[in-house]
Amino acid sequence: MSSFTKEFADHVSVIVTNCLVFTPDDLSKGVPHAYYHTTNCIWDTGAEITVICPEIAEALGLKEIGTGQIGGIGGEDHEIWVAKVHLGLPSSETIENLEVYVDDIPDHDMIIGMDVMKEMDIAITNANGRTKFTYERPSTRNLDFTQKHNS
Amino acid sequence: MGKLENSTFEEFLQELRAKSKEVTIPKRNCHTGKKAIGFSVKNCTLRLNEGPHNSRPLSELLK
Repeated sequence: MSSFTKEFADHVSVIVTNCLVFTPDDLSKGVPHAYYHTTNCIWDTGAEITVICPEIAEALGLKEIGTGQIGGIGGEDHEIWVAKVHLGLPSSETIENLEVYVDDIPDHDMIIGMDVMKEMDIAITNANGRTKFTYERPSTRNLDFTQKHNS
Repeated sequence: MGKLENSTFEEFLQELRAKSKEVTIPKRNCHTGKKAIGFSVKNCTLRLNEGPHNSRPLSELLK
């Protein structure tokens, strides 16, 4: 069980955190031989799959394990390739052997998609003029904000 | 490098730098104004990330 909370200074339009991308080495032998640390990782519930930019894949020497095609909102369908990585989440735990898309991402180094978030309980609150992003993994809750008003 | 949000994560990073190679990438333009938000998978040669993923505390990697 791990958890993470980030409170922003005001309301924000994107949730951005730290994240580590590791080479997909055997973790039973210790720390992977290389990693990339980004402070520019966006959390996107509209993304089905986690994405890293080509520069990260190249710097880590990742290998193509598959290909695919994605369609973005307002963008054209285009080909991408798939690589395997380990992630180091800001909650200080790993996500191991994650298959990620490698694609050019405007303005950000990587996108955490629903393939990672579906294993979490996540909330975003905006009280007191500040956006707060919090998650816990694995998922254990059955939240329903309407229950407070219906009871 | 921006401010880190989690002290445990920051402590791990300090130890990680001594045991693994940190790679860097050319600075990306963070002010293009383009939206990366939202996309769907059209087709793929793999069935990606269907089951739960193994995980462990980052600190275990350093042992």
